[in-house]
Amino acid sequence: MTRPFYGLTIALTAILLLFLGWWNLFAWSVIPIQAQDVWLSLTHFDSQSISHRIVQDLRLPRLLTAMLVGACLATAGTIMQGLTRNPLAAPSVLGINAGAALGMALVSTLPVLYGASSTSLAAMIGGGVAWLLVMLLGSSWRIGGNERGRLVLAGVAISALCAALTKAVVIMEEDQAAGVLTWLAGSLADARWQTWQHYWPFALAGLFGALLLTPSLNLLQLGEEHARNLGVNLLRSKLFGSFLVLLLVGTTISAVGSIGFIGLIVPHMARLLVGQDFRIFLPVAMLLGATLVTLADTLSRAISYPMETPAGAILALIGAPFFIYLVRKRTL
Amino acid sequence: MLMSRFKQLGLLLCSVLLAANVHAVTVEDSKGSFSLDYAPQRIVVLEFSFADALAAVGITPVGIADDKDKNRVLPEVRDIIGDWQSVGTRSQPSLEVIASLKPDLIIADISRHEAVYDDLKKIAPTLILPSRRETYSDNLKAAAIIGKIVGKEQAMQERLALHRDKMANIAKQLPSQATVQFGVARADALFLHTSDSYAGGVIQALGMQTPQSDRDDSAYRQTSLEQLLAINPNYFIVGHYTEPSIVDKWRKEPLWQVLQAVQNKHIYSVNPNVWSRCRGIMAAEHMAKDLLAIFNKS
Repeated sequence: MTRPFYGLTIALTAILLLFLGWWNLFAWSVIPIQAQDVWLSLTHFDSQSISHRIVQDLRLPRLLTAMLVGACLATAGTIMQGLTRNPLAAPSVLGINAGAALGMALVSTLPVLYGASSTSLAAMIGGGVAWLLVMLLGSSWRIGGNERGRLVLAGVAISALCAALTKAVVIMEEDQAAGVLTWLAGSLADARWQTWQHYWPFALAGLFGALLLTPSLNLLQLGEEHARNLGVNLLRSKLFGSFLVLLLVGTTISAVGSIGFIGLIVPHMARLLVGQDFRIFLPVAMLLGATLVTLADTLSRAISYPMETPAGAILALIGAPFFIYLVRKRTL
Repeated sequence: MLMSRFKQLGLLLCSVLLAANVHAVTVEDSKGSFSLDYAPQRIVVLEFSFADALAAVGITPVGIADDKDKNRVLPEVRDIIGDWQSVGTRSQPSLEVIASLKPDLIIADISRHEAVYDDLKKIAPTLILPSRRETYSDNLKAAAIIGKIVGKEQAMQERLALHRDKMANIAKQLPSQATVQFGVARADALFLHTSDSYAGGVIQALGMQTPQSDRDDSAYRQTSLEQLLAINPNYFIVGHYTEPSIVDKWRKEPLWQVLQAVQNKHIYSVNPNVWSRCRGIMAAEHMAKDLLAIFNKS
């Protein structure tokens, strides 16, 4: 494939993203918003108009957060698949989502831990511990010891353990649990400017860091021995990659809750479009991730209008069959 | 002499049989027909609404699934029934503790306890009625059934008549055209109690309006600020389960100021435990008094 083709793909994806974003700003509103109101609220903001207010105060931060969430999760999935050379690797498959959920559930329900740490920190610590355990169990730190099945099995086992513990916590502390349940489903409905302000600096830093990692990821695909011979510091790359994954997933989860499957699906879609070169397919994956989450967020208002369905649930509906397809494709 | 002895014995037998017949009652519960041929003395209830119904006819249950927190039982109910043994949470009552109390009647909730219904029946006869997500009229029907089964049908009917009088009396003092919306606020979610909910039913019973929902749905509905704006009730009554709750977060947002109830300063706080968990004759009267206080103030 040639360079102009890549450029075209990126341009088309970006146009699709912009179109979906514009659609997201007015579609399926409980209070009707005209398409032109969106434009007017940006150019001639009228503080008395409810629809302008909704676009400015609710829709815009929600849309921007959705886009960033998609980009971050897609990037995290890409890094994980690159580091482990495992096509099934993704934050939701390898236990990070479940670990972060457990961390949040513990902090928000156990009186002993009240105020011990912020929920976002708890999500990051929980996700980090789970990821560490999965990497150790899957023996992914050992050079050459990178059995694909083992890593996924370890991820599934740790996920199941964390999910069981989360459920236990939720059952024991039913009163505080409603919030945890909302959060577990992953929804963008409560994303406001405040959420955005806490989120974007870390997310952008993570995305930028990921772009720096792409040359090493490319070399890693040749096999760890080759990569090392070509001058890649394996341990440093793995540590830096893992740190980026935790940063991206942890901040995302604390902003909007547990949204799965983006990290799994999007890298495959991107690879299908532009091939194996991480330097090109990572930016495409970011754009595609943003597009998919924006679409899911729009649908989240449509499915049981006028109520909201969590975007995470919609993505799981798309993601679960895709996961099964990937597994079958590998074994057959 | 001997004949008169026989006569006396016969009379005694007759009266014993009659008495037994008086206690043999059959009612329709959520699982069909339920009969009891004695007046229960040791009753365990697994929802607050059932404790309310027992208190209405002056009966003290031996055990209540009170979520291990006695303060969750309505104060008016506590004053009547005195002390009881906790049998755990309403969602997961402890079967061991229930069995240890040797009850002769268990009253369970069809919504929460259908899964353990067979286990409960092994411990004692179990009357299963709606409680969670029930409507106001469901609740009064359940109270009447409980009154009948504990052998206090007359007393319960009198209490229900008194209740209707009290509610009608308060309704006269409340504005009939106002739309009143109740919701409970947690740290990151607001759940509105719709027209079909218990609180919605109490508001309607007091002659006021609840906002029409455009779809037929359950009693409790999670609601975003935007959806709340679309409902835009005249009066918004909030029970805060935590402080600060999501409603406190929304107060800082410009859109909050667009709400009719905010502009007219018609937002009030009530006790979420009484308004959302308790349900029952005395709970409804408590809620009516809260509303009266709110409308007298405004």
